[in-house]
Amino acid sequence: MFSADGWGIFLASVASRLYLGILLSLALFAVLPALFGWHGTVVQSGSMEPHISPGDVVLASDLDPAQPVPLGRVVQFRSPASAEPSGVEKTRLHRIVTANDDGTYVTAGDANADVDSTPLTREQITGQARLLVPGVGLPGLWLGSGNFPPLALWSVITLAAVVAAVFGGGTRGRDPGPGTGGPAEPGGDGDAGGGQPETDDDGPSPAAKAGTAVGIIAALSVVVVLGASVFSSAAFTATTANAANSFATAADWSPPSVTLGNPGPAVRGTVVLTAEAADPESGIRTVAIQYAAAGSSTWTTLCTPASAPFSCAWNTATLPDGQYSLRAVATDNSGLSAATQPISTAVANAFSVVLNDPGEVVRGTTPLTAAVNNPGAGLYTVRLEYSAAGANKWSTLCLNLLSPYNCAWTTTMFANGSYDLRAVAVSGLTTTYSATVADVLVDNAAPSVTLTDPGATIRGTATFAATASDADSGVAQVQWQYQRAGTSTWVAMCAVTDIPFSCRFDTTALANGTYNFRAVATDAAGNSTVSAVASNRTVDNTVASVSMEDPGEYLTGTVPLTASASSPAGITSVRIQSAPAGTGTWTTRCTATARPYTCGWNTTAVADGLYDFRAILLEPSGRETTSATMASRRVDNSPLRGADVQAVNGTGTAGRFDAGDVLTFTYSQPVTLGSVTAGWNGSTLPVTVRLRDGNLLGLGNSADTVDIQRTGGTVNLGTLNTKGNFIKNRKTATFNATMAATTVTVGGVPRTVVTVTLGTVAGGASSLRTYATPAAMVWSPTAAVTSPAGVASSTAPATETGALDRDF
Amino acid sequence: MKTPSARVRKLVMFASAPVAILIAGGMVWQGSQAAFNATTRNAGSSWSTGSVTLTDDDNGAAAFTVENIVPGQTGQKCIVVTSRSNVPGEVRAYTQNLVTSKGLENRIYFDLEQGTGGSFNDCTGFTPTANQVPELPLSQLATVNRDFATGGAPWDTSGTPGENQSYRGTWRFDTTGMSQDEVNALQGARVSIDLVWELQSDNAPTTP
Repeated sequence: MFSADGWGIFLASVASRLYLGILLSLALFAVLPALFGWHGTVVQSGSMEPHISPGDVVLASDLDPAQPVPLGRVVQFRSPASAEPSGVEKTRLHRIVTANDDGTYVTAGDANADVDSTPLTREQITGQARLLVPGVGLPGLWLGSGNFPPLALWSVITLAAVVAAVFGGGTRGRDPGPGTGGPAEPGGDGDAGGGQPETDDDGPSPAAKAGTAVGIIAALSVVVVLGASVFSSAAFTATTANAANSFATAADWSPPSVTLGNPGPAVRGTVVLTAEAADPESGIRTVAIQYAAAGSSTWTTLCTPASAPFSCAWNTATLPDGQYSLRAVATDNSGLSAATQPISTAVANAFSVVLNDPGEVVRGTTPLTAAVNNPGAGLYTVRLEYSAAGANKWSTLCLNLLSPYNCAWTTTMFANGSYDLRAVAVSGLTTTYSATVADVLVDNAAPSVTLTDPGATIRGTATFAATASDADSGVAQVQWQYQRAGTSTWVAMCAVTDIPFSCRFDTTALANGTYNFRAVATDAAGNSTVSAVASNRTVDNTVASVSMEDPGEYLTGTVPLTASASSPAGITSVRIQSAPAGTGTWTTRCTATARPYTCGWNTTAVADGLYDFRAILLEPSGRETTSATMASRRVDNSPLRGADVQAVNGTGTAGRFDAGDVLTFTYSQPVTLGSVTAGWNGSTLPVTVRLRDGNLLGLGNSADTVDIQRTGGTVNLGTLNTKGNFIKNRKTATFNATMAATTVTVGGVPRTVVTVTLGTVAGGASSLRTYATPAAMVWSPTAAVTSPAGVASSTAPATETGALDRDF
Repeated sequence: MKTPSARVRKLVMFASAPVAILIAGGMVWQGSQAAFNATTRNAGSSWSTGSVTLTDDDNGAAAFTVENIVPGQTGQKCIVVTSRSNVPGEVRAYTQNLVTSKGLENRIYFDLEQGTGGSFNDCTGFTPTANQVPELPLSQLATVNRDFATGGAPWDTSGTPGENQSYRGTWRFDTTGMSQDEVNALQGARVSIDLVWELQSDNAPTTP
């Protein structure tokens, strides 16, 4: 049975031949279609199960450009590297399941629970799958993925089959054997199955059989190698999602808008107060209309209407006469609320007489008016009285006034100074006095002004300086004017409102010629004085001129240095130079070739001290013109310096010095608190805040200055120029206050912060003014304050940082 | 008969080739019909070579359901994604189904970190190990990270069932640079988005 000629070998041979035949036929089916343009790939993974398994060869035809993308069919497409988990571009084989609106398609593996998330474009499609050749790619797949055990097993079985097929087919020499050894071509049917007629030949020789075997093995090897190189993949996918994450904004974060109608400066009896309020997002829930007695911070609610019109009746007769504040507070349905600014009004139900305030400063003949409220049936005469401010010794100004109680005050008949005024109403035996209008300044004296000689010849941008002062209301403005020689018209050039009264004017705007110059100073009362005339000065801009702009008294960090230059012959360059003061050793800081002639100088690169500046203009001809020297400006980069100063209003009136206002002085480093004031460790200390009118210090009206004082000692914080007009002319006020210090770290850098909180006013309350204009205050520290290492503070002024705001 | 006769031999040998070809042709025909004539797929079947289920610990709840947010607000949630695949692969995160409203989608900034620790209920213990998706507004995320190919926060799985990775999402409502009117126009808006994690396996050898 198992002899070489028996059924066993025969059947094994038949089975082997069938096996090899199928294998080689499959290989042929897999490769032949390449002849008419189809391309085949070996499927690597099972996401297209159950119909397509790994190892199957799929043959795809090109997609005809005229043909629409085949929905529902399996296609081969290039999947870019970014879409592949392995990061390598692959050929994928998946089914197209739907078309998207944007012209892309959704693909899916048959065995995947989810569709592919990456959409497919037509350009990616390399073919439509047409033919499936099962299993023939398996050996190649095993080889390509390094799966050697099954490869080895298959190889052994197949080799045995080859041997059985080639060598076990016929009896030795008796039957026709297989055909001549076929060529070693892939897919070639090495088993030449063509029937051989019975011939008398001996059949293929052992050499031919061996050749056939080798041929078959070679063909199979080629199939295996080919199969290892053309893979299509169809990756497994799975997803998990966290769906419908939602983010919803609040329906309303905007407070409502609200306004309150002004009932007028005085009210009596029952008045109707009406507010308007709106909230577009959630609507108005209520509006509360409230009043408070002047100076009180307790608001009493008159009514809380919930719908428009938001109005209340206010029976003022139930309240004592006096000043009151009114406001409306609106609340919307989201709970957000907003309040109006308080409106001030006077309740005057009782009989009263009022002298209308003529203003802070008066001159010449000033009209004065009084009003009598609620006179009832009585007939009143009114007289106006005056007293030196604060003296309370009254003299009559005007007598026997009848309604409308007007009087003209000829202030020129009075000495300049502050006066208190009042009105007195008399009816029969009843005498009623008005509230005193205090501290009205009479100023009929003009300021004095002296101009600084601008020189015989003036060119380019020149400085026009003057000194001016006013003993009473303070200098409001100094204006420079020019007059062309031979004309009678004076033309304004520039005006300055602050000390120093000097301005820079570009004379290239004037035609060359002879001019007269003068300065006109005007005080706050309106009196003005004309200076002496600088006459017959020559404006000559035929020649080049150059001058330095003032970089400032203190120079810290990187400062801009600017020069003004003009030259009819043109400007090649302007060099800006500095030198240690007085040395004449000039270093060029920059060279500018075009307007503006400016550069930034990093002063931290030089030693602290005084420096001179000048600019040198170079004309194309080579001629140089040197500016006048701007002398002795101080470079100060000391590490300990004033860093910031701020003022915040407390609960009182904004823009007015009152209790609760907080002043903050920030140093750039920690300081020894004992050097601020003796024996201090930063804990709360009672001090006095002194506010003085700027004119007392020669600084002007809007330069009122604060300093901190202490009984029995000094406080070395320096002075603070509020840059505002918080106190009347030439007056001083003092406040009880407390001072405390802490160390604050900003950006990793610790600094000492001194906080001064105002309390009650100790003196000069009637001299205080409300100043609403935003300003940047300037703090000048003293060198008496030192750091723990003993380094003295710089005296360079520190300007209030941040956006301009109303202080106090 | 002890041995096959010569005629039998001749017949069988003669027939073996055409039979082989026929059998091969039949296999190709049948396989092609089944695979390529069907137009629907059977979703949900699993393979014997490895299941690739991906799950997370959110119990079906959305991670973020934030109400009444005001400008400047921010929040965080964590989620743990677990792979039961026994083949190596890569998990990427992306977004889907953005619902927009009044431009709020341009102002909710979202950042996804990968790491370890934490859970859906509590981020305590979350330690970030990577932050590969830059913080972007939801509107940009929806276009930039929208499918596996454009997904971010890649996590290479090794094929050990039960391996997991934690993710922490941080959102911010940022109105920097907007005028007050523009900020107020965002009141009462609601946006939503899905966060999707997808696992795709590397091409792995199949077991016979």
